[in-house]
Amino acid sequence: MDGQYKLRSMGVMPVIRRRTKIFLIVILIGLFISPVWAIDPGPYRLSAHGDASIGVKRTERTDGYARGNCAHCHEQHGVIGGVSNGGPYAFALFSTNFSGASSAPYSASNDVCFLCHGPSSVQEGGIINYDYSETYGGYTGGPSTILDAFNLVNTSSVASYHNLKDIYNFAQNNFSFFTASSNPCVACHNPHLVKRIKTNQTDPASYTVVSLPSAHNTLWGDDSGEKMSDFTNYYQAPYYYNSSTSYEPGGSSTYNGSNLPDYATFCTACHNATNTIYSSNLGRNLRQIDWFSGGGDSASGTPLPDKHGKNSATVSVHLKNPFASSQLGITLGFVTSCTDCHEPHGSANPFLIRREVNGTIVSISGTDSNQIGYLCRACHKDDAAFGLSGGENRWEYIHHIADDHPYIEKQCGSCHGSGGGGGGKPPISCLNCHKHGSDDSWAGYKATGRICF
Amino acid sequence: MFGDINVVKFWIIVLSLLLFSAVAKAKIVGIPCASCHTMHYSQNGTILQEWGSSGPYKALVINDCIGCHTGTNNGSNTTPYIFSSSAPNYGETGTEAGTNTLAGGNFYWVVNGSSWVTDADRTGHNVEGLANVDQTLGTTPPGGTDLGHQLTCAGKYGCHGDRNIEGDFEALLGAHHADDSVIDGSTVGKSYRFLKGIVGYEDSDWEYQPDAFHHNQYKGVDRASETDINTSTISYLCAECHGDFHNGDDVSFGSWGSPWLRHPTDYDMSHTPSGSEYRQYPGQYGSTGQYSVIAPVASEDVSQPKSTVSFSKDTIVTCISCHRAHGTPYKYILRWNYYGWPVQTSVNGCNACHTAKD
Repeated sequence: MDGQYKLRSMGVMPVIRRRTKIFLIVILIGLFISPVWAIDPGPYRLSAHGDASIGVKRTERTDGYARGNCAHCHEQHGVIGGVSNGGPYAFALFSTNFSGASSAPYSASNDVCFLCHGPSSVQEGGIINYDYSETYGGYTGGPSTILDAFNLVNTSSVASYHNLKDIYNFAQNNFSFFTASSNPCVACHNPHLVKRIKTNQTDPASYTVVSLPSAHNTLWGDDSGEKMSDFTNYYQAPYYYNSSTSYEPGGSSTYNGSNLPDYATFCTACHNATNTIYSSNLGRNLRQIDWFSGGGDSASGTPLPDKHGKNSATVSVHLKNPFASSQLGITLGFVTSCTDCHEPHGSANPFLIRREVNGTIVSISGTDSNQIGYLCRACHKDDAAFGLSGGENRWEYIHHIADDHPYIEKQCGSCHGSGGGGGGKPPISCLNCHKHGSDDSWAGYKATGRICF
Repeated sequence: MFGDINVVKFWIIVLSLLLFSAVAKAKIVGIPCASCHTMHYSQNGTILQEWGSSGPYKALVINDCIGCHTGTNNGSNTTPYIFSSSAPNYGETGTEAGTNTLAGGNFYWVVNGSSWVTDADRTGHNVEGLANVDQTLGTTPPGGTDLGHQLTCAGKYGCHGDRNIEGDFEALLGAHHADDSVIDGSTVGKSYRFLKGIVGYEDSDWEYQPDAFHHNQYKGVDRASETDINTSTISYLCAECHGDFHNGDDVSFGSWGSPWLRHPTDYDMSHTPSGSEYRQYPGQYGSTGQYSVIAPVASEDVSQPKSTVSFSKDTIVTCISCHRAHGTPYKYILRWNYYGWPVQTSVNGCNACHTAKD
């Protein structure tokens, strides 16, 4: 029996022949059958703008572009149906990217983003974007578009906003991706990545809209290590409006910031201890912020490390709930997120201070006197919280009576000025001492050297 | 045993024929004159069925441009068919196995309409003899000035042949018999696809079901400025009518580069930052650095087709990186269903370069 016959008799040869045929047939099928393209969605299609169901859809483009298509923002040749679109514009956008407007109120044409994110939106159906206080804090009644938020100067003399030209100037000098033709919005946002955060109020981290300027091509907040709970173990989420059982963001039971982007790291990418940022609105450089260092009440540094950041009061702090009975098991050393107090775009209050903080309505009519105290009392106990009658936004107890109080009473004139004797001392401007990177050196010879923010 | 070996041999031969079959070049050789010419446009007192019916034709040919180039491509045809009387199979991008269109696409849709587009005018160049004058654009090409005449295949109002000569036949005279062994743009016959002055590598089957190894190699240049024009590039050809989109002095904002005002052409992506999304070309349409027939890029060296790119004057954006010259089923003769993306399709050739925008 030769080998060949042996193989045949063992049934091996037919197997080889059959396998050969199958192999060749598979190749032929591969040659003749069209591949079915099924391209996995990338970051743009997963973004709010690129989503096929809820993405960009400009009403002006009546010529059939699908929702989410690039053409709703970009016109590749600056021509539609043979007619110029009025440009062409930088980045082949359908309008001027940023006009360079130096101050609010802005018009929609000042910034291409406002053409959709404004009250006269060219997006099909319009776009509603409530402010942070409403979206994540649950307090209604604020602006309903991004442009409206920037333009609260139309309704409030003390309103504040993130000045776009200031952002533009800073970003152009500091961010490698930012060019002279860039839009100030992209200093914080990458429009090709941003997710639909507004409809995911209880999980803004997974649907984040911000990108670190040092990592513009990725989102910040959605990955491991990018949450407030990663920034610190001492983040206690503030209450959701009208609730003493649910927390920001969105009114969930999560209280440790594991559902919140690490806005501390994000905002301090610019507003940190080293950058010099000029504010056109304030007419001065912004105060520098050290949100990272510790050291207690007497820590040193320039700027002084903020106790609302990773620094902490040394002895005690008198807080309202949920901090006073925090599930974190601490009464001291809390670290806050910038968004606990500040709006990102604009506010009717000064300094971008939210109109609701920790479930408390905050309405500030100016920066003099103790008006900023209306913010403080959202978390810190004022005299009223200590049970003193008529003590709303009055702060005698914490300054003069509580344990660890810094100043003895009966020396009123030192701080309260003339007429300080007797009851009802005239209030002092909180901002004399309580501001980023500040101690109480304003108090002169009465100063304790304590860090006051 | 011999029977088994023969079976294997048979399949290997079949595969070899399919994989390596050669197709003729542009110069017509090896066929009888009568295949293309007729002395009197008459045979036994009538005309032959395979002749065009509106003759006699110039140059004693049996049909006009469209007549001769109408048919269905099958990979072995020696005449490139740019118009089909029945709907071609375009697939998603005109490149997949099973498709039967060529590099320029097909005029079928501008004549017959497309299920993807309500306005047939948008699916092809409105060439005289095939389609009517564009109802929206008239005879003014976007980005250009009025031609004053409907677009023709060749000549003064066309793309092919000598654009200084009016008339399809006159502009192409002799080109089909010219020695095209060297494509240097010096004559119509020696120009890429008889586009006078344009050079490039001509795929032997006009990109019938192309792949990274079998395709045209388009000529582009790595320009230094918007006004730095090389008249041998494929984009320059387009710019002869659509000039604003190529060198209209408002393609880039300031110096040549981003931010672009209009999408650049004759721009080499080697100028993009080394870590940018563009360096991932062709994204999901091949392995990184592989040439993509979905969204082809041009090169300065067109001596042979490139299967890979190195971001060194071989990743040059061209008009036809996105468009096909003759027609596609899609709006604005785009290579893929850009208008429908991302709702109707997940295929978007833009992402071959804009790899992070998918």
